[in-house]
Amino acid sequence: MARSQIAAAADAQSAIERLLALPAFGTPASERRPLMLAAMQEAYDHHFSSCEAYAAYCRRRGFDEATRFERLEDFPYLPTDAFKRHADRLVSVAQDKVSATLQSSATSGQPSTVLIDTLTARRQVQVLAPVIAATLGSHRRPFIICDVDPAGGRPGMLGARSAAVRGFLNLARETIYVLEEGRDGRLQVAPDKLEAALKELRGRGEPFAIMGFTYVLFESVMEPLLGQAPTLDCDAHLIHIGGWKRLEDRKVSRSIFNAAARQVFGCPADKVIDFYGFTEQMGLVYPAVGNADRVAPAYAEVIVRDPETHQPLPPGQPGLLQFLTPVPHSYPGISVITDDLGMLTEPPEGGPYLDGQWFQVLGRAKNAEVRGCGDVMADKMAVRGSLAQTASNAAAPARLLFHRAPYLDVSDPVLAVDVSALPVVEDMGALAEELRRGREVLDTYSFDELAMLVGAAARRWAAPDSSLGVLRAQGLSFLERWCQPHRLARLGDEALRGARGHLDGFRTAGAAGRQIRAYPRGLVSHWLSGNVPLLGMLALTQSILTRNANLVKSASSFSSALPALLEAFRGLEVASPTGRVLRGDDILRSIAVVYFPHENRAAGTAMSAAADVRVAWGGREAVEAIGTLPRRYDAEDVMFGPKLSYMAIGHELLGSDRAVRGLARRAAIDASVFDQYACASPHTIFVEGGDEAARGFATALAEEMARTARIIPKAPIDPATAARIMRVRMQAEFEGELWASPGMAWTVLYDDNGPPVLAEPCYSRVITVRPVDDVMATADLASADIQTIGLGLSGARRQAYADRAARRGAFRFPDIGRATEFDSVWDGLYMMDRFVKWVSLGGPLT
Amino acid sequence: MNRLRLVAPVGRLLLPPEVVAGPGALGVVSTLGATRLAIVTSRRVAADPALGAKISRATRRLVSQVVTLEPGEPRLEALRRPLAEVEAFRPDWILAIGGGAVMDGAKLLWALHEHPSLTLEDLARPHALPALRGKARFAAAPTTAGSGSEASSAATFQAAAGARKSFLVSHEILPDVAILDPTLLGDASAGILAASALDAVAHAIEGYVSRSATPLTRIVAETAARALLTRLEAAMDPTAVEARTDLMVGACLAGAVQNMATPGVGHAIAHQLAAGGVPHALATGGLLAGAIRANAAADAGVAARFDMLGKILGLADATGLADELSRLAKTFGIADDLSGRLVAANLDGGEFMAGVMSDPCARANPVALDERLVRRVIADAA
Repeated sequence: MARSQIAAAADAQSAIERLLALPAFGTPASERRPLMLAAMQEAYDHHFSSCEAYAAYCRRRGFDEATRFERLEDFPYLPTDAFKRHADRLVSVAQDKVSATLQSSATSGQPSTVLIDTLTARRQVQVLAPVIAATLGSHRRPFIICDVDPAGGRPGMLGARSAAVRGFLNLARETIYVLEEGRDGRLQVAPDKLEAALKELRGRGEPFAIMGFTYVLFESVMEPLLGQAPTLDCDAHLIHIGGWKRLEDRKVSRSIFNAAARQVFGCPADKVIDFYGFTEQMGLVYPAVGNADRVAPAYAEVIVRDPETHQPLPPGQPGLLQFLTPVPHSYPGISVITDDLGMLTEPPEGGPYLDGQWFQVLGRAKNAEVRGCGDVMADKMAVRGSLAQTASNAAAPARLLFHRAPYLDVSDPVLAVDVSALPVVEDMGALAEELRRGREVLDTYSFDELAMLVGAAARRWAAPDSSLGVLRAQGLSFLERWCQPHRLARLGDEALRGARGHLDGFRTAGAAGRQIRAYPRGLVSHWLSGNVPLLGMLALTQSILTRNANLVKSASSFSSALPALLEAFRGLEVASPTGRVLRGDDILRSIAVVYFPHENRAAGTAMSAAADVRVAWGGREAVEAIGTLPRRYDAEDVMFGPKLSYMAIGHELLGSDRAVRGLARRAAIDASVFDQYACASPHTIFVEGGDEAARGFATALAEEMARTARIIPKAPIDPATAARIMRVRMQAEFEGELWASPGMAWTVLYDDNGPPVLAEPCYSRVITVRPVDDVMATADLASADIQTIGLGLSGARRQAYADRAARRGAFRFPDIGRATEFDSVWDGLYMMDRFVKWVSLGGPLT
Repeated sequence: MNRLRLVAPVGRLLLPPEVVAGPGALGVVSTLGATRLAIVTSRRVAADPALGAKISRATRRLVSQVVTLEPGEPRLEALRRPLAEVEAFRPDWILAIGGGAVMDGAKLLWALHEHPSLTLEDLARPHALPALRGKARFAAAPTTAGSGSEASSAATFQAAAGARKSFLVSHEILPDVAILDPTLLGDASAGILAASALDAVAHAIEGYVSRSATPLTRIVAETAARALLTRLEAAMDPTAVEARTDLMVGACLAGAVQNMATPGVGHAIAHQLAAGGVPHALATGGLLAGAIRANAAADAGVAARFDMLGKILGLADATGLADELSRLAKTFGIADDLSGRLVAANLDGGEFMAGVMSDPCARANPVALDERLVRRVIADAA
């Protein structure tokens, strides 16, 4: 459309209508952007005046009804999460105008919901059709839909899959659905139906298209047919939509997908078109043809923002993807920032979509859902200190990281490690046997002599010139204190029937001369998680003290942390008061640290089969997977699965400003150490006494979080974490109140919406304060998934709370400020007790 | 072991959870529940046929091992061998049999067996000892009636020969069982027996007027002093087991008093004299009468307190009490022995006086110490 035509149309139409009247591609940016700016201003004005929640959100960010925007990047943006939690408030039309509810497929967790009116629906079609036409050609053609026929679906509540497909069908002359729902509810291809359809359409000699959701196409059609049938050779376009989240989890890339498309359908890559879009801006799609980048149509603007600062980024720099479009009329989704990482790119030379905005979608910037501390950490820490294991599959062998000496560089415990250079563990069983033999020397050591060695090693960790200093914020200081010999002795006494001497000899137990003694079980296999890099040392130390051999599977993150800790034992010699020289190398003879990807089930099986005790830390999936490995029938299992923690503060401890400040100071420590990634780290603080008390506490907490951040500096964070923090901050701006550091160091959210429930953990020093009328009721939020509840209660209420929550499954009720200090009992058990077998002499007990 | 934490200045008394007293009391050892019993004693006791037979009889059904200590004040360097023996044996009970030095040495062995990482500084830091009993428990059977170590939360020791005396102070080292068996006193000479008993009297009487005394400790001190003073002479007869039992009970209770009410100037001086080789019991017993006279002369209130104790003990007043102690010291040759040693000792150096003034017992003396008072106490005994 020529400039003069646009100008002429401007008189009669709104800016939005004029924008939507543009061709999908080809309008020069210099003409399109002013129109987009005007359309967005129009859309902003509409939503600001029509949606109270949106207006409130904008006001908090400094905008009002009079704001006039001069640049597209200045428009406020909502996090896509807003449509998961507050869809009912994000409405810009009267309820009776809402004609349909669209819901995302929610790969996992809560779906996004948007309410659409007829105008929005019309605009959706208006912007979709030109894009598809520009991609496939304008004439209508038959579509083979690789999905079930939606006829019979619930009216009014359109699944996003169905709705998205329907949008495309405006270009279909004929539709043939080729999937059916199996008895188990799974989609499955009807091969005869598919073959018949292909045969029929091929016979007509006209172009047609095969279409489906990306993961449905791959999992329900292409995968089952791969290698099972000859190529269904056809000269058709293969269109897929819906995104890659699910296939990303399975490591299925676009090139793998395209190769499968060629094999199954005979479609060359340049006829495979991947449309990117999302529920919050339904109708807008961004095609990628073959292996090329994506291009945005004229109706949308793509901005890439720095995950931490949210500043717009130039082409070539990855960040969070933000999309602007004036299409939504019934809900204020005109500018949203997604969880997807992307990057603006330069247009290809001579392509058909010049003057469109080109970009790449690089993948998720976050876990789809928080599944537990271990799971979350595995993602979060992957950037630093991770193993550069590229062949993460079942064929990747187990590698030896440490045995008697490190095989990797331990001078930087957070350094990424290339495991391919490390020795391969050819025979895990043989290694286990060697460790068992190495263990025998420990029988010549008393419990306290071993504790002396551990204590001496711990002093090396804490030395000013120690390379482990970078782990101080990860709990090194606590670990060093915890390893003091007299503390270990007390731990042993408590765990071993009141006396660690049970490990050194028989002791009388009861009458009739009955004696009991504790012996090492033999070999303890440890599976470490990456959330708290030093956590594994807590279990390992207790296993050493009980004179067990140890086979440790490192986590993929912080994989050199444990070897670096163990390195302190090498060459260590300590003189006992008897004159005996205690040698750290004697301990190292019975310890090996290995790494293998979790897909290597053979290595996991061998490690499990060798174990007398299996210790696993991590997320639910990881721990459950270890639980399914074959094991000796009498092996002891110590499984520390994912747990969450919170705090409960009663009115009785909030009697003065000083008391509030003291509590806030201690709470800030709990929410800051380990950067909140420990299972015992609180994410929600319930404060009794109503809004005023809770808000006062939150204010004090914010000051103390800032102070604590200076004392315990936060470890560097990756873009995904920054994006997550930014998202929850925006969410809080939208619905509550927040205090936050200028950077990403800490965030205090105040949430008085709805019933008092646990806040979804964000980790990385993000803590939510919630007011409650009766803090005792929050004991009922406890479950087997809750580990620690820090208590700010006194007297009988303190006991009653602990009793009430313990009956529901919680394990620990430390005072506030002590939540993350590793304690015995932990997750309901005395670890050292599980590492020994008890033997009786004489008896029985009468 | 969990102990109460006092939050007000109230009286307190700590005794071993079990105290058995009387001839044959050592037999309880077989009922301790020990699976491996380390018997820590002196070479003298180990070599004494009569005592050896008693010990063998009491422990014959137990797996046990005798561990002997070097003679004299416990020295850390000299504990290495016995500690290695204890470590190798891995006992669950330690039985200390001997005098005060053996008791103190055995307590140090116990602490180091439980916590081999303890340093000299750790040991000397008051009430900083980590919890004991994770590996072994402790029974004390004294072979003297004096030190009260079987009821004490303290042990004295030296890092090495000639080093300053250090104190291990912790309620953790209060024994689990005190065994007061008069037959273990054996045929100790009257002089040694009396000197030990007068040391115990000093614990009771100096504790009675101590700045840290309470009504509770004073009543126990009265009982202890009465038992000791009234039975001392009768107990010199080796066959007088009843009197000897009373003497041991008195010494044990006096030890309990000392545990709570720190003694005064007599002990402060005695600790300095020990560096010159003056036996502790000889010094405290020999200096006690002078300490009473000097303190009573310096403060009327203190004199009144001594008067009351004298009356309770049937000795009219403070003067009567001091005179009786002088008499006993003279009777058993303590006064002459000490007098000779004091003359020989160099007490003029500033180091001696500074040591007295900085001694923990100096601070507990009921009258603020000055050089004149110290000199008067010494002159009384010289």
